[in-house]
Amino acid sequence: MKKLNILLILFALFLVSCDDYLDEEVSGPLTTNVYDTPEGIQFGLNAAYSTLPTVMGGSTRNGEAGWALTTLGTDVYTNGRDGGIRNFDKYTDWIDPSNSYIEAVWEEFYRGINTANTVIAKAPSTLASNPDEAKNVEGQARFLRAYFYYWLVRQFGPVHYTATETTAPETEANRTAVEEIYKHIVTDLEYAIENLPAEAAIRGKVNNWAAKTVLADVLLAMKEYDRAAQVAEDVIANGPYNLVPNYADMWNVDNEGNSEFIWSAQFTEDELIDGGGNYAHMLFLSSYDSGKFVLRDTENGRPWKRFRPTKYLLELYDDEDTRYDGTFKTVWYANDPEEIDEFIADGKDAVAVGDTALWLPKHAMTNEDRDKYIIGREGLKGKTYLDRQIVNPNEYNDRIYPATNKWIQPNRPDVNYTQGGRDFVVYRLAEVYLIASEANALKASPDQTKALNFLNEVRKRAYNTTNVSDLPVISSVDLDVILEERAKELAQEGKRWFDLVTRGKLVERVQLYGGYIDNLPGYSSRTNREGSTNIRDYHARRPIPQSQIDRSTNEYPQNPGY
Amino acid sequence: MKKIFLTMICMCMVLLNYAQSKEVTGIVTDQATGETIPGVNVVVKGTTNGTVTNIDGKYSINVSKTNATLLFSFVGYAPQEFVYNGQGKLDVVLVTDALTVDEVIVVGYGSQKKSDVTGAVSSVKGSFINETKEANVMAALAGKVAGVDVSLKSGQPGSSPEILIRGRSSLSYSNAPLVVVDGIPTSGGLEDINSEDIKSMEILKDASSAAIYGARGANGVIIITTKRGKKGKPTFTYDAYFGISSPTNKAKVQSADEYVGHLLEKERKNREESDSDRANWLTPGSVSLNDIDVQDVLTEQQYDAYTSGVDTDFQDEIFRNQSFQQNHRFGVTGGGDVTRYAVSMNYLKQEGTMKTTDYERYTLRTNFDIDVTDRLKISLSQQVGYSESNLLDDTGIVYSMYTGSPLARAYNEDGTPTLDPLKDGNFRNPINDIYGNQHENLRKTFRYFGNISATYKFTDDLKYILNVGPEFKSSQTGQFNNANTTKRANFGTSLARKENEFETSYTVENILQFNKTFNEIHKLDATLLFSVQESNYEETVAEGQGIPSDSQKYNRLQDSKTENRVIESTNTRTRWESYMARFNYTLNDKYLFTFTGRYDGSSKLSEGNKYEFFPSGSVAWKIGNEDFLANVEALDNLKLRLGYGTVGRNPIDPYSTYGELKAVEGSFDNQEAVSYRPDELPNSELSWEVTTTYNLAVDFALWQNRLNGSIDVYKGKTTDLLLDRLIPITSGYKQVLENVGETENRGIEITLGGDVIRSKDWRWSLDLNFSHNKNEIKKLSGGGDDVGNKWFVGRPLQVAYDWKYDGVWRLNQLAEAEKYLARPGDARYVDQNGDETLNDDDDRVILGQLDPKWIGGLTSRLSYKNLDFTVVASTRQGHVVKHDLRIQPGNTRRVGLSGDYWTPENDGAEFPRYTRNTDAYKTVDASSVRIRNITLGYNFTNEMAHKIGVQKIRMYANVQNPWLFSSFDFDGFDPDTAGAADSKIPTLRTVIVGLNVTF
Repeated sequence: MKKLNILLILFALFLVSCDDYLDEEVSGPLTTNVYDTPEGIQFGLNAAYSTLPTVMGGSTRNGEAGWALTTLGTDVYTNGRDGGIRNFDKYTDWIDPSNSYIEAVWEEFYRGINTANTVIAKAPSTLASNPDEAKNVEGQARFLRAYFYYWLVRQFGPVHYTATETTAPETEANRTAVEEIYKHIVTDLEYAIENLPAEAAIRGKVNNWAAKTVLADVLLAMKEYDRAAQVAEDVIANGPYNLVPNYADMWNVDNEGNSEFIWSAQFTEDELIDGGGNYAHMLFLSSYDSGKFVLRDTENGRPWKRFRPTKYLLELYDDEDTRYDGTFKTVWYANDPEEIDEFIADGKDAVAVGDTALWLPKHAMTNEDRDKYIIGREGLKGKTYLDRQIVNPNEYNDRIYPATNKWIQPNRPDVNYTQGGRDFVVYRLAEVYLIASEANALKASPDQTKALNFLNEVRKRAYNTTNVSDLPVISSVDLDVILEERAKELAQEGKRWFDLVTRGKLVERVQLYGGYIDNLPGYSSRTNREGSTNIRDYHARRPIPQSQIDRSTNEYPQNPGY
Repeated sequence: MKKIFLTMICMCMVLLNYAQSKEVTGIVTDQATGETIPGVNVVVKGTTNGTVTNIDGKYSINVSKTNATLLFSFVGYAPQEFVYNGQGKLDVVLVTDALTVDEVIVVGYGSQKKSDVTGAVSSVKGSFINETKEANVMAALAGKVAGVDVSLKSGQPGSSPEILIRGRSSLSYSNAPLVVVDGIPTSGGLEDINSEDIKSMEILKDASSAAIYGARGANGVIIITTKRGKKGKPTFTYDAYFGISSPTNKAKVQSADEYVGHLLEKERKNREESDSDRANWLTPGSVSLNDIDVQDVLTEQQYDAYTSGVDTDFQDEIFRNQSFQQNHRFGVTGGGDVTRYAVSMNYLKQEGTMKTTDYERYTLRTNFDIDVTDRLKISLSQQVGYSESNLLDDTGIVYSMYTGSPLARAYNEDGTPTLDPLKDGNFRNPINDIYGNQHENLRKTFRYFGNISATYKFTDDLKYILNVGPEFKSSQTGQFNNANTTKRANFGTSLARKENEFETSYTVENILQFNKTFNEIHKLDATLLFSVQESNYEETVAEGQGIPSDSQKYNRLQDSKTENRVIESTNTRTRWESYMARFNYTLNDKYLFTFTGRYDGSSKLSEGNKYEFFPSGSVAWKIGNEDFLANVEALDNLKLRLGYGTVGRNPIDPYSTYGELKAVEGSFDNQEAVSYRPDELPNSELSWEVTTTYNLAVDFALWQNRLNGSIDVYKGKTTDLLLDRLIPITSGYKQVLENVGETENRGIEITLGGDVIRSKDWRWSLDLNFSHNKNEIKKLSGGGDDVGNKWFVGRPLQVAYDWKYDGVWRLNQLAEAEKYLARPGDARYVDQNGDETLNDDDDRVILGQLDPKWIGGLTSRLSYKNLDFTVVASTRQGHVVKHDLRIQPGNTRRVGLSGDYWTPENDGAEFPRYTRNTDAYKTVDASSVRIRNITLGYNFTNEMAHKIGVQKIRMYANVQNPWLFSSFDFDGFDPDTAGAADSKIPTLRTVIVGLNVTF
């Protein structure tokens, strides 16, 4: 009987001891409950920050999606030779609801929004013991959410708006009116201004000045000019930012922490941290390596030939404007000793490594002038699309055109290395001056004095002068003046599509200036003005991805025209 | 009790009859084991005169007259009759009966007489598993059991086949059955079990029988019971066999001449179709082959090889013409009053078809039973196994081996394999994968599992059993590919990887069993179970590229290049908690009822959803025992069974209900920012996939069991299938795992067995089974078809979906072919909607199902005196396979087809010309009939055995896979592996010779 008792007790023990036996202890993978810890919520916030670098970087659709949607199909940039994204410039049927670039960007922002929503939902409780930190974290997340929606409404118009963390499958989606989304954006930015510190903990994080900058931009888009002027002037007067005296210096690859940059999306050269990278260093390049004596190298970059400046943009710059050379790379130097040796062996004149080998002068040169230079005389054998090595503007084509000085990145380990580490500058002080100028010019009771003053601050730096009298005369600021100035100041910075769309100028300006005409000798004046011909009003909004429409259980209307 | 009682009666009769008759004596032995059998009934037919054999199997009986017939019978053996001709001595060998109705079989948490079983349970004796000498126990099931489909999916030695019981019901998760060894559910993978250690295998096929395993029984259950010791002197056995395997047929690949002919033909087509405007293409045949010079179609390198007579068939260099295998097992069983034991050691080595591949296995099995007291019994069932497998990463090697140009020189003059024999950078010589130490993929596995069990009998009716089943499994895989191997051809660096897996699990079961017969008509058998189970899985992976020296292999990854390193580690834990009750009630030995309820809990599910109840019930009516059939002498058994039950499947990954985060890249000011964003939507509603089945069956046995069998029809429905549902990304997620889908399985199984001949010297038995399964998708997430996954509502779970091949465009069909942008000689596909274009949406159709519609098996066992001859055949019918090597790319050689391809001069050819290639063309009928095994054995007579000092000796020869008949000509490939992702190997034929010695 004793044994029997022991066994019965054993049996009973097994039955009762197992209250929490099936509790699941998570070890290894991180799950959403890590956001309930103070260090874990930072992981979520960091992930929300990484949304923009992902859209603008190599982790999404070959590094081209974000750049294509903000650069192509405008009055200042058109497509280069290569890449499927050419069609964004041409406004063809290719821009359709199943377009993978558009879908990728759409998806990435909504992932980012959900991440931000999750952080916003959890910050107050997770960081309850440190209310200031809680507000700071929430402020950053709200800032990001506001910016992501701002990006989306300018591309897609009314979009799905949600400010809550997704915790259960959601199959319905809405199209909230643009005005209402703007209201939410303003509320979020106001919270950020209220709660963010004046100085961010580290470069790449946002402070309250960044929030004010975005707010000024948003208010401008909302046409609330008075408030926009007020906020922009606050940033100019009281913010810790200064214009970098020399426009070109600002774009030095080692000067990413300069005093003008207000907020930049972060990329880094370290491949272990950033496998995607910013592809801009390739996208804006042209085929410099088709010139004689020039080999493709790390210094000059890997030319993907995606984006080409329009004739309109190139001609906007005055000769005194330092921004032309600050923005465009137009000279390449000989770096191919073998070809030079061959050349010399043929009994030709001496050329040395480091001599100018390919030059795209701003103004056309006569053939007589060009013949004064060895390279100009020699011309090119076998490379039929490049007739000479001094190429006049009327000879530019989809392979040869002024490239970039803003994104060139000579410090990559190898010429084929795609992962660029240059930060994508989202806002810098010069733009705030232009916002202030525009808002003052367009507000109900315009203040042209202020408008001109702010505009001229930017121009003075551009013309490298301290005297307004040195500048070409602009008597009053209007929308076209602003758009021209923004074109010159902010070229290649992923702004133009937004600039045109928010000001209702996309169709008008693409029809006037979009695309290009080649009249290279030997080519029968090839035109690529397809974009100018094809563009319609509906193109000011991108198509809603078909997957969004298919997967929504309620009806999710497509943008008209698609 | 009954037996002893009968024995006593018989003995009394013997005494009564003693005076008037002549004495006959003899020994009764078991044909399979050679052991003597005590307790065998010996009766003079037509009289009440009888006796039983004593403990040594000896009997003596007095027979009153000559020409009397003696009848020998014993439970579990086929009865035998002998005519008494006046001889004084009559030794008898009894043969175990495969399907004896009163056989006891294991049904999970206990055993039952087969005649009392109410569910669909099949039982296979260990000797039948062992007779084919398959290295893998599961492979031995092929063709043996209705409803169990066994198909080999890999050609690597030591790999396990895929097993499907009654078809497939889950779309996204495993359909592999649960395997229970000596009472404890194992982690699967039975590569390390030696078939000679197995006493029996039982397959629980329907929900009413599998329901005792509740949430793990949805794919059916295979129960393996190993041999245990019996009281008696120690019996030593030594079993050994040696085998040689060779490919039955190499794949037919083009010879150098054929290859050049094919390139010429390609060049001709190119010339005819060179104009950029299709309208200007020349009619096929208008360019003469005479106008094309061999040098035009071959690179300098290949031309040089061609003129010097190079004609490489890489199969010759990579396949072993003969791969050897050997198996040794040494065992001892026996026991005394207190302890019984069965201990065996096993060594198996098997070489693979591809050079360098092999599998080596060491197993120690120790089973002990200890009667501690009259009431307490302790049993240990343990196995320790260690194995080493040398594998090949065969994706690259297989493709290059079959399609590589015959003009590629295999070796350099110094005997080393060439690297880039075509000097074009496109073709890496596959011999590099098996040459020297350039490649290694060695997997070592150590595994211990067992059941430590204690049984305490409170009374004769009530007992308590405690089972503790620990399992430890540790495996390490080291992979090394140097820069020369096919895998690294595009990288130029070596790749080294070390992977460690560590699995532990334990099961603790508390079982109470009550067993009693009331008033001789009510029999109750009740089982209560409480069990917990935990399994842990840990994995560590380290990988590096560019190891400085090949000699370091994967043992110094810290020397690899920093930027390409991969480090991964994972750890998961799953727990189960279960309560189960089963009641078997029998009334009058005619009406049988079984009710089972199992309440299962799983740690993987969220709070509130962890537990699920799985009920089942079944009834059986032994019509044969009814009075109105009592006079039908031919009828031994007739039973109707009806079962219903639900079982579950819970395949989700641990932590699925929480919502996993994904690491994303992030940085601030060039410093890393650890970033994790939500990636999986937490779904707290996740639950089991539930399968509900009905089973209706009849079991019968006729003419003293000379014909027996059963017919089962079943219908099963699986609901709440776990599928990813696509949701709009505006929620932040693209999909969510939900219990949404539904599938259905219907089928019929017929098993027939019996003795065609039963006589003193001759015995011939046949076992036949046939099963048909039809599975169908009933519902998917989103309602409609899921074309991307090839899931179609109303169609089988796995289908081939593509354009339908319709022969070759002929010369006179030029105009029609052009509508489809095809040319005479191209493959022709059916334009389903007649719109004169072939598009993906409208013209692709379901070409067939990937699982067979029906399977069957036939086993014939013929014996004459001491000779026996066994043939096992199986068939799989009505399915298709995507024969991936049925390709005809431009610059590689043509494989897997006969030479009859289209040229303008051969317009009637069966196969298209070489250039046009689509997947659709690869889908072919995979139906096949396979003679799996033929065995010829000889059991030495006792006298002969005794002469050489042993009890028993058996020698045998065995051929595996002697013949394969398939409806499509696979040209040497095995239809089972032809669709496998990488291991496409020819059918292997193995010849084995072996012996069993008992002493």
